[in-house]
Amino acid sequence: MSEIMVKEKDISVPGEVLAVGMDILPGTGTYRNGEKIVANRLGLASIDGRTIKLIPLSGRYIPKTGDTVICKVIDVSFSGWRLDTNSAYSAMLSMKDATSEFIQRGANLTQFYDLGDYIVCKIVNVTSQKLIDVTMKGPGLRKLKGGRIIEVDSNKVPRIIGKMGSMVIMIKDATKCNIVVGQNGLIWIEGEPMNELLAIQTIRKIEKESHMSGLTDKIKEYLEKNTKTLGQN
Amino acid sequence: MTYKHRIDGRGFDETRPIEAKVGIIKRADGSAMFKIGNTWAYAAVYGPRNLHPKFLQDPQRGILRCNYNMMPFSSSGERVRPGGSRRSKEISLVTGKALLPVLNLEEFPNSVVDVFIELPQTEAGSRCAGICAASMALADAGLNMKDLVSAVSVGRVADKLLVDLDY
Repeated sequence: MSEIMVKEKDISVPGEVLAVGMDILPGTGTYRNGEKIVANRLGLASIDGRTIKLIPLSGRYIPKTGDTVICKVIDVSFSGWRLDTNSAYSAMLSMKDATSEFIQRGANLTQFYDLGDYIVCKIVNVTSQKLIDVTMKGPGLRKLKGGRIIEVDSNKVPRIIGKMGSMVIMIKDATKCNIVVGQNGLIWIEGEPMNELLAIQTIRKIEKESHMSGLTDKIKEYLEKNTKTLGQN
Repeated sequence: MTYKHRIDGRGFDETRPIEAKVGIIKRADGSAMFKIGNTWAYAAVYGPRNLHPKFLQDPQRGILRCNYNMMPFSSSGERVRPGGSRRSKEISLVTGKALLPVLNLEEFPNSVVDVFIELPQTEAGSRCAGICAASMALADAGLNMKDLVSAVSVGRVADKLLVDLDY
């Protein structure tokens, strides 16, 4: 007797009844109220067999274990660094996780990471009280020198990266820029000034059109068109 | 009561024309506009974000702060004195109490969600318009909520109940 009220990729608002029936299961972004499955947030409906979930469209970044994020150093303490994660909570980078070098007792920690520096790090632990531990030990985790940082909606990051990184690799190849995408919505771009601008415009375009299908081909076309005009100038 | 409809032609259970939009303030995490007749409410939501001073933090759940404000030129021509007043303070509190039951802020301990409601023009029912705008803005901000909240004023004239009173 179950009935699904929404279609794939329908926009749902909080309180909207998505389905009725006990044999359908509520996924993320939904909850069960008696027989009904109700939307918990704003999102696109996604039906996977018997479960219904919502793909979020907006919202601030919520730190998760295992995410690679770009953070800004906001404080230097005795035992490590405090980082701004572009979310409601700051992260702690302890001396042990920061470097494999030997740091003498009482050493000036700003010679490793100074206030205002941006670093790529990985979240190793998030407690229930949202205390965040990050590490610098891992491939690609480093301090970012030069370049520029832009901020995007963290829910759009998967589209910017693409399947197996296809989208970001395409932008990197076309613009010859170094790009690091943080899961928290911060993106670092370094390259020739005009190429940097093109990369930023491309990322903004992806962010705006992230809900469309066939985006990769569209962006490919966009990049080809614009890299040609870059060459002429 | 012998009247069949109101001065402006509305039935007793009819509201003024409504217009609603979300995502109008780009820099905010969520925003919405709600117009009902000549009452316009804009709401912007910021957060969940870091909360200071620290003694306001709640380690069990995030807190909700609402701020209702009528713009100086929003009234009937009489300048509304800018800044907070007893009235705006109470309405801010009422708005918060109306919205809190649907919000699930347990995911965000020690943080705050700020809601700013601005009214550029008001005729009547400004707190109801504010609550509607705020609830849409919270949904637009991607917060976890059980349902949307809507509000409308109801009054009694003689023996009849009237929806959405105005002047």
